[in-house]
Amino acid sequence: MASYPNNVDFSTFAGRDSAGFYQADLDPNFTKISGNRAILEHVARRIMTPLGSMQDDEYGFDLRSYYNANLSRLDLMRLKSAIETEAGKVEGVENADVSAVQDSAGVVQIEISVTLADEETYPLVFSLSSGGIKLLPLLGV
Amino acid sequence: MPTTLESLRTPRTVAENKQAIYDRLMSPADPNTPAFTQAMSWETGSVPSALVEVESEAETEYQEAQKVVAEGNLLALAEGDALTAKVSEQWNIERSAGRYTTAYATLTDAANAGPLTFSQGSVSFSVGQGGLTFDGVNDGTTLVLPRGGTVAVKVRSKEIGASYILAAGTLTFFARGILPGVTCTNLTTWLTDGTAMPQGGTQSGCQQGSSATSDADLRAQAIAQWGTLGTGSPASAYEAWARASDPSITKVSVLTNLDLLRPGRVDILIAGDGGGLGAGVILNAQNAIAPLTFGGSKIPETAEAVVSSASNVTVIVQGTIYVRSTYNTTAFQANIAADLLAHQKEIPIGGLVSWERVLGVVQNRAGTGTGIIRNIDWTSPVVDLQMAYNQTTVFSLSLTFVSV
Repeated sequence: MASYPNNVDFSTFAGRDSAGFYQADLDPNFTKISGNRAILEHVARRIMTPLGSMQDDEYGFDLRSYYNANLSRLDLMRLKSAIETEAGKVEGVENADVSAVQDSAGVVQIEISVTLADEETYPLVFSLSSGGIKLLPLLGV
Repeated sequence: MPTTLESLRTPRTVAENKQAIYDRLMSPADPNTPAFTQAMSWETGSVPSALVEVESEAETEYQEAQKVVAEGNLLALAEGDALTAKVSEQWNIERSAGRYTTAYATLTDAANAGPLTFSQGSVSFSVGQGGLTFDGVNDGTTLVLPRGGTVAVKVRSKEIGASYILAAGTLTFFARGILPGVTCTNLTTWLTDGTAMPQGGTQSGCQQGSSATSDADLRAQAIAQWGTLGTGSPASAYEAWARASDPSITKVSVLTNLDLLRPGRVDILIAGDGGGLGAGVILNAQNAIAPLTFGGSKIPETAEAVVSSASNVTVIVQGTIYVRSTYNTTAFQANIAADLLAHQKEIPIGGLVSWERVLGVVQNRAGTGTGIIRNIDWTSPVVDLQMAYNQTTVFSLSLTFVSV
């Protein structure tokens, strides 16, 4: 089981913009999170952290490197595989199923179905465009 | 832990600082402070773990800055910008940025293809393909190479540095703006102002290049400066004045009693990174110490100071080096040449050339293993060479690299 001080971590997806998407930043109120919420936030952090920026050499996959990318089907398959691998490294994640689609405007929609140890499945939905990366609200957590 | 100069000079790594923070979290000094005994197990990517990493990186950056500040205050330890600022403020010595070499290359219409008209700025020459490059000075000059004739082209080295001080007859490759049937070279007078040019007029604006003052040279200048405060001008004063007079002077030897009939005479021998120096540099040093040779504002009225250049002794560095093929690149060979130049710079006027050290310098880049340089058939030098009091060493490289 992942270790945190007093079994809680602090949220880094507490604020939302006007469209309802999460803003990735340390919550200034230090809102405590635990359990499934903490696991899902860790999945989100892992795929938004460039490899090498943490002292764990294997931590991170930078989704932002795909800004404005013209992705082929093979590229999307590789993206899917990379996200599934990174999500699977989070303690508490049993399985991660990823769907990645790019529309005609170049926006990449990534849906991660994360199955946790309690066998419940939660969706993480990212939208990647020239405007940045956006995370839809973590529903039901 | 008490703070000492040594502790300020040894910043801890991020990993070491991180461990120290975890140690404090798990075993706080204050017994009233709760201990986080599982701190080292905190999940990577969690906020507490990330805060510890941020703090450890910040501490390392701060300690590295402390090192610069602590060492920058001491002449023997300061480096780079800190040393430049220290000697400027405390000794009023400015670090020379080095100089370009400006000289004249000579083109010859060997194939009788002329007359050829071209812009001086359209040509460049180098020492062999990919070697040190000189560009034609782009000042709007148009040159005409007559049929079967010669013309002098004013050129400037691509970069600053003493490595651009070339022997005559080495600048023979057209790097840009090839003129068919035309050969190029640099004559022995290529750096001499006033030399008559084939097209008329005389050479002007020649300048021997010099490297930026190294940290070691800057420290030597600062230490020698103390002698200028003494009465009667000790040897270090002459050295300081000579070094300050021209940036191309990097070696100084101050001698007395060379002429027993002139006991008050001081001989100041100078040399640069590339060996002996020309009349212009000698004059600069002479004027800086004693323009009239006797007396003046710096030396006693009864003293005589004569500046001269050390004479070059060419030491041929020759051998066949068997290099593993993947390492036998132009860059590797250039590194060895640069190492030998650096060693040459360190040999003082009247110093000893140790053949074992020269051979060691050639092998320096290969480390202690056998995977890079497999073997060396060494030809020269094979004995130690003691320079005379007025001689300075100039290496002539004749190294053959064979891929194995």
